[in-house]
Amino acid sequence: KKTEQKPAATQDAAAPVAESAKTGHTVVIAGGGYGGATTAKYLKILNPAINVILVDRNAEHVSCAMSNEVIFGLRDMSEITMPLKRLADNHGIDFRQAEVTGLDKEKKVLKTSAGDISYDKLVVSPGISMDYDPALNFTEDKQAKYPHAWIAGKQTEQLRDMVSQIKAGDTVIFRTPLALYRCPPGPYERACLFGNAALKKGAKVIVLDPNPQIMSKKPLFEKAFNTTYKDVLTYIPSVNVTAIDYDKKIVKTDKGDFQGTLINFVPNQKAGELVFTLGLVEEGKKWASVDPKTFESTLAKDVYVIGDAIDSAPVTEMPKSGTIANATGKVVAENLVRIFAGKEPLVPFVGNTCYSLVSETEGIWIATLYEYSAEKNKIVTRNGANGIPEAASVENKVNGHSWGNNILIDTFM
Amino acid sequence: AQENEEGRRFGNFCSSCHGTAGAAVSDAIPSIGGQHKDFLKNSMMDMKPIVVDGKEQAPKRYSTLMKIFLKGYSEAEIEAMADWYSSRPWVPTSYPLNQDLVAKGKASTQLETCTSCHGANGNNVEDAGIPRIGGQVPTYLYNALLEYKNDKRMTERASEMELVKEISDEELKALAEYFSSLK
Ligand SMILES: Cc1cc2nc3c(=O)[nH]c(=O)nc-3n(C[C@H](O)[C@H](O)[C@H](O)COP(=O)(O)OP(=O)(O)OC[C@H]3O[C@@H](n4cnc5c(N)ncnc54)[C@H](O)[C@@H]3O)c2cc1C
Ligand code: HEC
Ligand code: HEC
Repeated sequence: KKTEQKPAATQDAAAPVAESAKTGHTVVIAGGGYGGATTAKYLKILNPAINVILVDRNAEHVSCAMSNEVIFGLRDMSEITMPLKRLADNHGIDFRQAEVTGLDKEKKVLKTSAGDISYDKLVVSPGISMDYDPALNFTEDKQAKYPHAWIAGKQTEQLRDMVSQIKAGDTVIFRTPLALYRCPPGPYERACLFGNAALKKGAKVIVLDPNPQIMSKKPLFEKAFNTTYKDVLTYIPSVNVTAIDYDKKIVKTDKGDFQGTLINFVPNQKAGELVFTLGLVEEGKKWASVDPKTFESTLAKDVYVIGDAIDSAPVTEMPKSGTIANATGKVVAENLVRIFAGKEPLVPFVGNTCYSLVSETEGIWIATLYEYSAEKNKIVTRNGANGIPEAASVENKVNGHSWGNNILIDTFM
Repeated sequence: AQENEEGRRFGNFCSSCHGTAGAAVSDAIPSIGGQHKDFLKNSMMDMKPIVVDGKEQAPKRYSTLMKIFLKGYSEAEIEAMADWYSSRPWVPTSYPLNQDLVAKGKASTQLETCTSCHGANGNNVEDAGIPRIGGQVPTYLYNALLEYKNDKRMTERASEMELVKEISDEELKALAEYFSSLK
């Protein structure tokens, strides 16, 4: 029998303890966002006898998906703020609010600010962290004044308040992140919504993109930039920011200097700090390596990494999206239940959709079905099932709103 | 009863749009958990693009994006998903409804014709090819009626829905809201 420290403060209902006694299997999940919360919920749906312990530093997860809508006043913050205790109570999950700080992979113990937790299987889904360019001197006080709002929470509200102050004659400078980053269409959705705000208020937007081109749903975003926003938005690809004059609000680049009234600089990204701390990232890499058949870490047995933190390029065509984190959470849950029951795990089979707004009234999407291919040892598009719509529409906006409500509940309730 | 594990595997990700086990909470994307099996299978086969002589044909039934996903599945896989989703509980929508419209729908002179096929509570269990509409989400029901009206669903059994062509959009909206309100 495992010894497991339970700090008094988080010693919840006795149910999980009794259940773990029934199967003896404990799954610990580090990170209660799209990947972690889904895994916890679906483990319990599939086999309530498994002891599921979910650890997150926050009592509530704030969804990044739909956070652009909050920034531009199209949804309320409360709609994307998901209490993890509610999820835990609904499904008999043992939720512990704590910082995850380390891993003993030999003894199979996860270290947290609320004590050590033993596991049979560990699932890690910490999302992303920022990879600040040292040349830009983004010190902590600068970070606090220039919210990227690419991890939702306080910064989302901060940027929302800045957007609400945009006046006639203002110039917004929006710098998109260099690929790989979370949510491929996200920057271009935000660019459109800046354009929408600029149209309403008589302001201008300059989009500085370090990528050579629009990275997702290109024809549809391009159309919005070139028609709806043609008078207010300038899109500049392949541009490198070399310095920022924070006092004068001047962004210096290899294509000239740009002065603005509102600067939204979204830094480049890497896996959540946690996977570095836990030793799940190979030397010199920015993302955690996994086996595409199972999402098991290549560096630690019985440890699975899902969501944005995985080193996707070598193992899959799947994007870093909430839908994929949700879908792979279900795959891992299903497979852990199979493994505990002495069955072979099944190879990943998932789908992705990202809805985006191109204005307050019209939406677009991308949809793809993926399956693991043994031949390529990679998760690839299945039978050519991939596409985008011919044009933006109100119908897609309405369906996208429904999708948002449904995935929040599927993941966090 | 034993779950169709194949169907679950192929269709588990769908819940990110359709709600957990196909129970949608919002208004525009339909609930599919607990829907009648034959209708589920027909609806998916009708939205799936068919390839004839190497050329992709327009599906019989209009869809925004379901056609993309369904392209990736075989008929047997679609059957497995229909089997699994139909075995899940039907959860009537709790989406806030417009009670004026519900009352108008209830008073519609067309209602009796609808219920003659769909059943008094919108759930005719005698014919699994007739969809369950009692408790389905409201915006979706209205859109579906407009699709029959505007020839966007040229399905095998669409002729049974011909009557909607004689009904105003306003009255269809009221009927949709009424059927949504049924438990
Ligand atoms: C503006 C924007 C729009 C987006 N729109 C969409 C969209 O429309 N559709 C879509 O599918 N995706 C969208 N995404 C992407 C989506 O939000 C992410 O892909 C998704 O959140 C990834 O899930 P995850 O589980 O990897 O990480 P997250 O959801 O970020 O969860 C990580 C969790 O881990 C916790 N954590 C991290 N480190 C620790 C630690 N050391 N100790 C304890 N807890 C820790 C965090 O508190 C957090 O709760 C969008 C993203 C952005 C930024
Ligand atoms: C990204 C959102 C999304 C995903 C993912 C999705 N659907 Fe759908 N589904 C829709 C929408 C929207 C409709 C309405 C038709 C349309 O516009 O495509 C629909 C319609 C349907 C219908 C018709 C229901 C009826 O009452 O007529 C069925 C059945 C269905 N989907 C099953 C599935 C299955 C099975 C999957 C997974 C393989 C799936 N859907 C994945 C959004 C989605
Ligand atoms: C003669 C039988 C018949 C009558 C009368 C009838 N229906 Fe139907 N209805 C059907 C059948 C069969 C289908 C499925 C058709 C198909 O496969 O496309 C259907 C489909 C539907 C759908 C689509 C549901 C979905 O999930 O996609 C709605 C909504 C609906 N009917 C509502 C109504 C309303 C409202 C009325 C009355 C105004 C009505 N029906 C009258 C037989 C009928």
